[in-house]
Amino acid sequence: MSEITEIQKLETTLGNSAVLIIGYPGGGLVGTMSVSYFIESLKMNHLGEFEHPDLPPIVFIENGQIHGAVRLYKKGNMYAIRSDAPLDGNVTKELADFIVKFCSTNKIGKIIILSGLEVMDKNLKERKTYGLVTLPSLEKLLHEENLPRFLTGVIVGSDAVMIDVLKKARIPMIMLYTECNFFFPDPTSAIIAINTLSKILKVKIDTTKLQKRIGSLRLEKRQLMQETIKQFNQEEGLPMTSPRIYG
Amino acid sequence: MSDWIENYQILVDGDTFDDFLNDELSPLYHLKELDTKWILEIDLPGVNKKDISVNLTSHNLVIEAKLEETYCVSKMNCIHEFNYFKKSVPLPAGIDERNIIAKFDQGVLTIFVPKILKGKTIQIE
Repeated sequence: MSEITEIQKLETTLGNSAVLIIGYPGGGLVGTMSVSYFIESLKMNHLGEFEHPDLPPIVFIENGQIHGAVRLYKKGNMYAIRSDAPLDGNVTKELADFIVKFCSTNKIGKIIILSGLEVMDKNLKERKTYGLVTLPSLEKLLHEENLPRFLTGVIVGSDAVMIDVLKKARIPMIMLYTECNFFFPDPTSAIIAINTLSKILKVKIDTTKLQKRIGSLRLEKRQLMQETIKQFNQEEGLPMTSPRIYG
Repeated sequence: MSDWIENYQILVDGDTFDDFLNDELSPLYHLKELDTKWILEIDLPGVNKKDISVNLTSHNLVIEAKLEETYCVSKMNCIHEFNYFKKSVPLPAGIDERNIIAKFDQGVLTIFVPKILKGKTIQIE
């Protein structure tokens, strides 16, 4: 499928409202890896950056251009935000506030956030993706895609801050939690997250390149995973636990 | 599509790993405490089970593993080659050393370290 056809199909599906995809470091780095691959696959254009004094001193070079850790991309009526640095509570809160304003000015009709979920018995042979929504109207979409709902549990850290802000602002948001090896980079779960996103958006994303790089990505992403776990541990007063599902 | 990850070069100091000091990769690990045992997980991508060794010293578990292929990293205009993982993990006290077992699945080594659950009996008055 050509790139133009993909985008046309996407715009038809979404109607007049745009969609915003978000991924930042969390369990298994599922969010960061899946959204990064999504941006590259659709050849989305760099639109801008989110800056905050509490972000780590880090820059990324992309095609000779210097960028910060939290970047915004656009293609057609599709937007994406990726972070390559762990976000603490304060940064996440301000990023979420920025997203609320951004949704208003750019007619974003729906936000989809990709994240990882720990599997308690470590049976990762069949990984599922669970959906959590901020508005009841989005539950139909989960049902149509046969995505089980995140029914009962506790969410801590950046995900909790993001969900709280978006829910209070009544922003339509779907949080997609894919089961993963929570404490290690897990590109296999990132592929499952991409496939789920692909189904929801009715956009074909070829994950062959990512499948071929599973081993090397697990090596390359050790540093970011380590920093993300450190960030989890620094969340004062919070237990070092991942989101859990009951029921 | 250009290689999506190699387009990025991270410019950051202060690595948390000591890979470059010892020319060995330091794997990620996670130690979890349960009621009756500790579970130590070590991420060993690109490794075959036959190339892993686990040794128990007086206070540590030492894990060494040979990578299937040499892993090259470019840092500060130098190419570094790595062929091994090595990690020494300090063990908590009160463990049953004789019944430690390990399994390796999907590149993750899981070591089950039972706690000593029997000790001096205390009479209840």
